[in-house]
Amino acid sequence: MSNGLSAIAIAAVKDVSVLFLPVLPFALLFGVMVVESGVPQILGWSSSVIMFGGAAQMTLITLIGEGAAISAAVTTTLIVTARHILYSVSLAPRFQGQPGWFRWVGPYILIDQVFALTQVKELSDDADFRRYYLAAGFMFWGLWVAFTGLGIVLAPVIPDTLGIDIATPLLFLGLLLMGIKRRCQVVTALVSGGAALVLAGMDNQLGLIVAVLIALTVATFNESRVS
Amino acid sequence: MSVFGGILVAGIGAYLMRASFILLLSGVVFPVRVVRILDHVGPAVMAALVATTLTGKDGQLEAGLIECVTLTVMAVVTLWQRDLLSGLLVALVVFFVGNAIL
Repeated sequence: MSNGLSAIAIAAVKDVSVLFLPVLPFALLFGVMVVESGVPQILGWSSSVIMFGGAAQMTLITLIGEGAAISAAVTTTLIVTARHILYSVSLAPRFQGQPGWFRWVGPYILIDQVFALTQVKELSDDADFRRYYLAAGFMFWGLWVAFTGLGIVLAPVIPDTLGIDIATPLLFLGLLLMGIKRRCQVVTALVSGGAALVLAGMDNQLGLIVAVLIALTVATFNESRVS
Repeated sequence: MSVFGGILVAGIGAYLMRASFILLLSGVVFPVRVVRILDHVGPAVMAALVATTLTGKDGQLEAGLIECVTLTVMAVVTLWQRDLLSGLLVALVVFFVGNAIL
């Protein structure tokens, strides 16, 4: 059954507020990175609107700043972004009952945190899912665009490191734990995490993709055993 | 290619990756078994992201004792309270106190 629009919006605002806390220093540091890279500031900031993906933006701006060919920087950035294909596969069934416009608009805001929220939040009604997804996604987008811009403006007074790098793995760990609903998903998470540690030395975060694919192979085997 | 061209191509590429299967599979009926397997994508990606964010550029583990304790506290509090914010706040307090003491 569909919940009220305001209740859904309030839930999205509450959830995004928590999720954005660890991202905030990351957004400010991206601003510093843009200034230090020598890329025109308005162009660097425009990547927040056009790309909307922290790790991908940092990769692109860093490589361009280091003097890499733009085509090479873009290729590397797309490899870093490749995990979003997995989000697209995973959410495809959830988007099937949705209106066509939402299937086109929704993917623009499909980042790590928004994907994780869809895994954690129990929303069986299609309209509720759509409202929550859009409210959470565009609130995250607005905060990201605003704080990366603020990071550029305040770059001279922001230190190169804020000393709270631990916030990002904490966030993902919390989302992982909140999103696990079945015992066999624990096995998948352990396999994926272990493989990602072993393969962490691969270039352009390719180890992450390979680790996830290994874990999904194990998951397929486990699911076929269960059924 | 200009810098703006690069940002534009990267943005379009990112969008196409995010939209690819959502748009391509919009008319496909998923068997229950496939949906159950897709339920594993979230835990697999989140676990890999935790591991990746704990390692350096060359793949070396950068988490020390304080980071490991902080992650453990995060896990225990989040599972106990079933609340992300509580876990995050308690873990960050442990992290800052741990860094101040050691």
